[in-house]
Amino acid sequence: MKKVYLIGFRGIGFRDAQFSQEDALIRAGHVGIAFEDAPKHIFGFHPTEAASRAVGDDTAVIEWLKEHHTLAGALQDDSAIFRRADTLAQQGARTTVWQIVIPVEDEDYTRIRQQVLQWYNDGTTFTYAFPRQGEDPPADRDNCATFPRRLGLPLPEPSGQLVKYMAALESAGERWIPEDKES
Amino acid sequence: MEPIQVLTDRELLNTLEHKLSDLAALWRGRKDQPEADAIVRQYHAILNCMIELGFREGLDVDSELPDRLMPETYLNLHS
Repeated sequence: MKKVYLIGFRGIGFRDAQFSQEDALIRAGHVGIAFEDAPKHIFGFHPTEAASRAVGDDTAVIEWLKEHHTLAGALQDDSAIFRRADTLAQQGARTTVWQIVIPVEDEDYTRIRQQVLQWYNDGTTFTYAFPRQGEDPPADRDNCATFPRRLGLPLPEPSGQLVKYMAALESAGERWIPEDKES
Repeated sequence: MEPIQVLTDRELLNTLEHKLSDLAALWRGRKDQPEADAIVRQYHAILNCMIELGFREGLDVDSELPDRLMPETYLNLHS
C-alpha cells in the first residue's frame, strides 16, 4: 500500500483588507493532492490564469464564480500556497492546513500519480465551478475539493462546499506539516 | 449594531454558517427558478441573525451569494 494525501485549508475570505495582497487561493481556501514519493509537491485544481484574467481581477473572478459561471481549470503546482497558508495560520489566521492520508494499492497509486502528472504536464483543462445543490451535480464540473473524484479518490465530504469540507478534513485528518519543518 | 454577547455560541454559529453554505449552493443550482427569491430571503434571515449573535468574520467565498444579493449589514461590516 502507498499513501496519497488530500491537503486543504480554509481561506481567509476576500473581506479583510489586512490580507488583500495575498494570493487569491489563500483568500479563497484550497485543496490539493500529494503523493508519498514526493510529498513536497501539492497539485491543486483551480482556474487557469488565462481564464481568470479574461474575466478580470481576482474580485471579478470571485463574483463570476458566485454567479455560478464556469471557468477553465487545470491542475497546478500549488506547493507554495500551502506553505504560505501554514505560515499565516501560525500568525493567527484561520488557514490551518489539514491532511488526510488515503492508503491505496500500489498499482492504483501508480495509475493515479501518472494521471496527475500527465494532466499537469499537458495542462489539461476541466470545467471549474463553485458547488451547487438542487439538481443532480453535473459530472463535468468541479472545484478544488471535488476534483479528486476524477482520480477515483474518496472525498471526506461530498458537496465540496469548503466550510463543510474543511470541517470534515479537520475531523478525520491531522495537521499538515511542511516537509522542511519535519524533524 | 452591538453583538448580544450572552447569546454568542460558536457551535450555533458554525451550524448556521454551514446552512448559509447550503443556501448559497442551492441558489446557484436554482438561480433561474421561482424559488430563488425565497432562498435569498432565508439567506438574509440567517446571516442577519448570525451578525446579531456576534458573527464578524468573512464567510468562505463559496458560502456567499453574489455581492448584489448579500445583505447590506454584512457588506457594511467589511467595507
